[in-house]
Order: sequence, then structure tokens, then C-alpha cells
Amino acid sequence: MSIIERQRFSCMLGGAADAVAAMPGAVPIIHGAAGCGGNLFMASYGGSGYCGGGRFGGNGVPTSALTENDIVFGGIERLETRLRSAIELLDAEIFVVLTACMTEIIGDDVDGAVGRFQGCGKTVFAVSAPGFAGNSYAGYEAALGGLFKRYIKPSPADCRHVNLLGAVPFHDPFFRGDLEEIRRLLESIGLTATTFFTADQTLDDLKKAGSASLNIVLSPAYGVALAAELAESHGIPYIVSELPVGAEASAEFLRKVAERLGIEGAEAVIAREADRYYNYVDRALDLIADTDFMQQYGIVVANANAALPYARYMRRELGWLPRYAFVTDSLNERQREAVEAAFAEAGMEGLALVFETGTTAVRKRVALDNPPLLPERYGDRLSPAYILGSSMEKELAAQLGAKLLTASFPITNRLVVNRGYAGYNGGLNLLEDIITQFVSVR
Amino acid sequence: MPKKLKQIAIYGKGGIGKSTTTSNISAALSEAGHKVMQFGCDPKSDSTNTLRKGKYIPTVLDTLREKSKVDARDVVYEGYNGIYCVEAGGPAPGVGCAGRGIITAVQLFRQQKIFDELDLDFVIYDVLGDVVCGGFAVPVREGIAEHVFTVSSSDFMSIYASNNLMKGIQKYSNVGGALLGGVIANSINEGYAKDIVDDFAARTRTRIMEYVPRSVTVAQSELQGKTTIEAAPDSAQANVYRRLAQKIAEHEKSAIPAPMEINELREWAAKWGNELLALQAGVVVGGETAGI
Repeated sequence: MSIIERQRFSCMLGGAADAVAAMPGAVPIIHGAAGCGGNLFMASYGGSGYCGGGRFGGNGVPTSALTENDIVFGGIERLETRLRSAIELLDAEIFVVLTACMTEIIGDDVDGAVGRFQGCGKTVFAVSAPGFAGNSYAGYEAALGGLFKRYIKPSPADCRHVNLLGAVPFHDPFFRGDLEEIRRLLESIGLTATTFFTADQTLDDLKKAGSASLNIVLSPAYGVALAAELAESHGIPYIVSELPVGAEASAEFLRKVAERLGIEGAEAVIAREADRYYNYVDRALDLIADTDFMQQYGIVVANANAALPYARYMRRELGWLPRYAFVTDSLNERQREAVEAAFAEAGMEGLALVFETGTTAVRKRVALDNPPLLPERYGDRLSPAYILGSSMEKELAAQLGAKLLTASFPITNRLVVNRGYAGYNGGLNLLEDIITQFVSVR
Repeated sequence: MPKKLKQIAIYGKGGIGKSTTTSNISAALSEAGHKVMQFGCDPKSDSTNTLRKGKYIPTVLDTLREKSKVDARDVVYEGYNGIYCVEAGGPAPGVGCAGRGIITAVQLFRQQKIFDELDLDFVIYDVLGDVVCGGFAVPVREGIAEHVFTVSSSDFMSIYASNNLMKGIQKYSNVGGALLGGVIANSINEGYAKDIVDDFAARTRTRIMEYVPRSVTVAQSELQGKTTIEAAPDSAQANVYRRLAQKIAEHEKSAIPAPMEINELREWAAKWGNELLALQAGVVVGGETAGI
């Protein structure tokens, strides 16, 4: 028997709107029924640690808000009116029309409509994003792909510039902090990077993406297909890397990028960063080693981007025993194989990689594997356990008597502003947050 | 006791004579003393032209486009012998959603209970061609029409459209949808044409309501912007329509048809193709073995 449950993503339109709203100077304009934008915002905002929509995102997304007559007669007129007023009133440079389900079903000629706005002094283009065509991760790729197609021109390669793909706004709730830290690391070895979605980004950063000499995809699943397209259209080669979380993973990441781009001096940077990192970790050991929460069984419940990085962090930075990594996305075969390959390469013995979108099914799997009546003292009980998951893992935590740090979408019990878990600084943040769960009751 | 309103939908391939047949049925029923409304469900919006001296009437959707709230009474026009004429209309070609337009127009009439108010005996929906999407199936669904008739000639494409319609009826038959009354065989002059539609009806377990011959009287009447009933009331063709209308008026029991699957339909058509070829070549029997 299967149970209908809330999924951990929204639709293609939601992902595309979130991505555009997170870009500098860009406005998403939803061409669809009134309600699409608001409902989708509730999902992404509510689940991402209240990351916020920003000036042109969330509840501020302009929409053509179609009603029945627009469906019968076509919604292009309303779209043009809305687009005209958005361009007039909003202080932005890039206007991205996103088509919702019903305008795709009735076949509105949206490309024709945006074509009439060429020459208005702004960049106006459309991205097909009907909810029935995919989930929010597909929307992220479609929006970023649209930006490359319509705004970012292929330029002569700058051997010191790279782009960061694969970190999905809101569905990776720590995307801002993560991207800022990854860029800091890249800058420390002499590179510059377009992140697309952090607060510091400008239109120049977006344009500069066309001259990158490498696309770094921080995900085994998302942005990979886009990177392959960009290799053709913009001549930018790409590498796929795990999101590095903690000192060891960050060092590997820096070596991988440096080797690929023929950069020397990465080892000095790695040594300096590691010194600082472990200096801080050392001090935390006074707490960690002195108390009885030293080693835990780990359970990760996260999307394809975070599952492996979190599991590796538990094993390699904390010395814990990660037992499960539940990947909660709905993946196609290629993506699933890539995730499996990444886990295999990381050599995570003793860890079960499980693809499971259902929250109850995750609990059931853990319960079936770990009968509660085993003798506590000598049996192989999954205790003490620690979960890096979402707010939907509260019941799993209660079932196991485990600690839970909400670190994957949806996160409803924390405010996430620019906190990140990637890189060296992110690794320290994660240490802080994980251990704080133990002492927060004191 | 209030009299029972009979709602009928007539479907068929575009250009097969659906509106001509429907208008003549309306005219004949009206002549027989019934109160009739003809509801055109085709974005072309010319279903009721021959009831209105060839003139187009403003459509439900034209009116809805101009104002957000429409009184259904404003889009009902009187035609020949007091027949109420309505055209659902639709968006411009290539824009919007004609199917949704039909839904909107039909719902407007249901919500405002116009059929009760006008004390009608018959509402006849004249619906565009193939049942290409949910919108065009609306008269079949939700208990709007009780009986569906399909107009078909012996042309393969026309039979294909009728077979599609039957699939739509079959699909909705277990949720209170309309059932099939029968096939109105149109443009039936040659003997083989009758054989083809008879065979089609037998295969799909339905029946032929009437064989309507192709007639120049119909064309002449339409050129005057009239039905045959109005323009040539004493013609043999008018009597064919009267007979058909009477059968429809008396029709009580419709049934679930048994449409052919696509491969079956193709094989069936190919078999008839061979027989027609044989007929043309003058082979009476054993055409297949005669080396054609």
C-alpha cells in the first residue's frame, strides 16, 4: 500500500519563478491563472527557512492572472498589458515570461508576444514552464537555460572565470551561503565566479558567465544537462562535483578545479584553510569529547544535491556512522545513476542509499530494518541516531528518539538568511548547528 | 405534470451536412407543433443560418467577450416558425480554447435555467466534427443531452469521426453520459453507400435512423438561406426530413455503441476499399481472386 504524501518540491513553474527571482535585476512574470504564483511561493518560501522572495519574487511576482474569458479567447492581450506595465513600473533589466499549465494547454503564442517587446530597451524573453512538464528542479534548469539562450552571449573565454551551476534556489535552502563560500574558495586560488543567485551579483556578473572557461556543476543531478547544452552553445566545458561540505571535501574540490584549470598554489591555500578549520574544531572538542554524544548513527534525508555531502560530512568530519542516505527527489534514470555513481565513488560502506520520495516510507524502511524489540545492550540498535533531514522528519526523529537538524527542504523551524554548509566555513557552521542540538536543552 | 424536455446532440465530421440536417430536423419538429431550440456548438457559428434567412447571429462568446456578465436571454434569437436559435461561437482561429468556449456557453444556459423558462420540448445541440477534446464532449457528458445522433456519409473520414464520437460516448456512458440514438446516413444515393453505412452500424451495434439522399433541392434551399422544410415544403426531400424528425421525436431508448478499435477500423475500411474497386472494375463476385 502506498500513501499519498506531500512531495518535497513544487512544479516547473515554481522552480523557474524562484530561479528568476533570485537573479539580479530579473523579474519573473507568470502567464497563467491567478493563484499559481501565490501558491508556489508558499511552498518555496515556507520550505526554505523563509528565505524570502525579494523585490520581484514571492508574492510580488507579476502575473497575467487569467480568468475564464482569457482561456477561451487566448490570454495574449492580458499578458501584453501586464508586461507593458511591469516594464514601465519595475526597476529591472530582464523580464522573463513564464508560461503556466493552462497557457501551454491553449497554446498562447507567447514568443510572438515577447517578440513585440524587442527594442524596448530591456531584455524580454519567455521560458516554457508548465507545471505538468516537470518539477521545480526542471524549472530551475529551464530558467537558467533561458538566461543563457537570451541574455548571456558566448564570449572569448577568460581562463580565470568559472560559473557555478546546480545549486537550486530555495530547494537548496542554504544556496546563498553555499555559493558565497564556494566563490570565496575559488577566489582564494585566483579565480572569479558567477554564482547567478547571491546578493552581490550584478548584470555584469551574469554577462560574464558567457566568457567562463569552466562550468562547475555542484550536483550529480541538476544542471548537468544544462551544462552539456552550454558546452555546445557557448563552448564552455564542465565538470560535475559534489557540493563540498567540510575540510576534506573542500580540499578535494579545490584540487579538482585547480587541476582542471592548471592552477598552481592550491595546496598552500588548502593548508591555510585546514589550519584555521581544525583550530576551531579543536576548541569545540572540549565540549564534544567531554560529553556522551560522541558517536552517533547518521541518517540523511535530503535532495540529490545534499544527501552525499551530508553523509560524507558525518563520516569524515565527525567520525560518525551514517547508515542511511534517503534521496527524496523524483529522479530520471540518468540522474539516479549519477547519484548512485557518486555514492559508489565516495565509498560509503555500511550506508544504504535509498531513493524514496515518501516521508512515511522513509520511516517504514527504518522501522522494518530496525525492530524496536532487540535487546538494547548487545543488539545492533540504531541508537543513538542523528538525522540530517527536513522538517518532515520530525516523526522519524520521535520514532528513533533521535536528534534532528533540519538541513534539507522543507525547513520550517529555522530562519535561513545567508547561512551555508558548504566549504570550510560551512563545515564549521554545520558542526555548530549539529552539536547545538545536544546542548540547546540545557 | 411538467412536460419532459428532450435534449439531443448531433455530431459528425465537418462539412458532412450536420447543420443542414439539424436545421431541417428543428424545422420539422417545430412544424409538428413542438417548441425547439437549436444550439450551435461550433466556432464557425453558422449552424442556425438556414433558420434565420442566411443571417449570422451574435454568439454567446462574442457577447461574453464584450461584457463579463451575460444574460442568456440576450443571445437567444428567434428563427423560422419560432425556433430559438443560439450560437456558442468561439475564439478567433488559432487562438484560445474553443473547447472551453463550448463549456462556458453551455454552462451559462444551464445556470440561468433558460430551457425551463422557455418551456421547450427539444434542445438540439449541433456539435463540431470529431470529439477532439473534453470541451466538445460536454453535450455528451454530465447529463446535458440524453440522446446523441451522428451524421455520416459513406466516406471513410466521416465514418472515422462517427467512430470517434462513439468512443467518447462509450467513455462517459457509465457516469451518466448520453447514449447513442443512431446514425443519420447522409448523402446516400448509390447502393454501395447504403451497404457501407449499414455494415458500419451493424459492426458498432447501432442503427440507421434514416437514409437521407443527396439532393439538389437542399442546395437550392440553402442558397435562399432556408431549410428544405421552409423552402420546398412539398418536396420528397422535405418528407425525408419529416420522417427523420418524427423518428427522433418518438425515439426513447439509446444504447452504448461498440466503436471499432483503430486497427479494426482500418481493416474494415480496406475491405470495403477492395470491394468498391471490384465494383468499379465490373467484377461482381470473387474480386479478390480475379487479379485486380
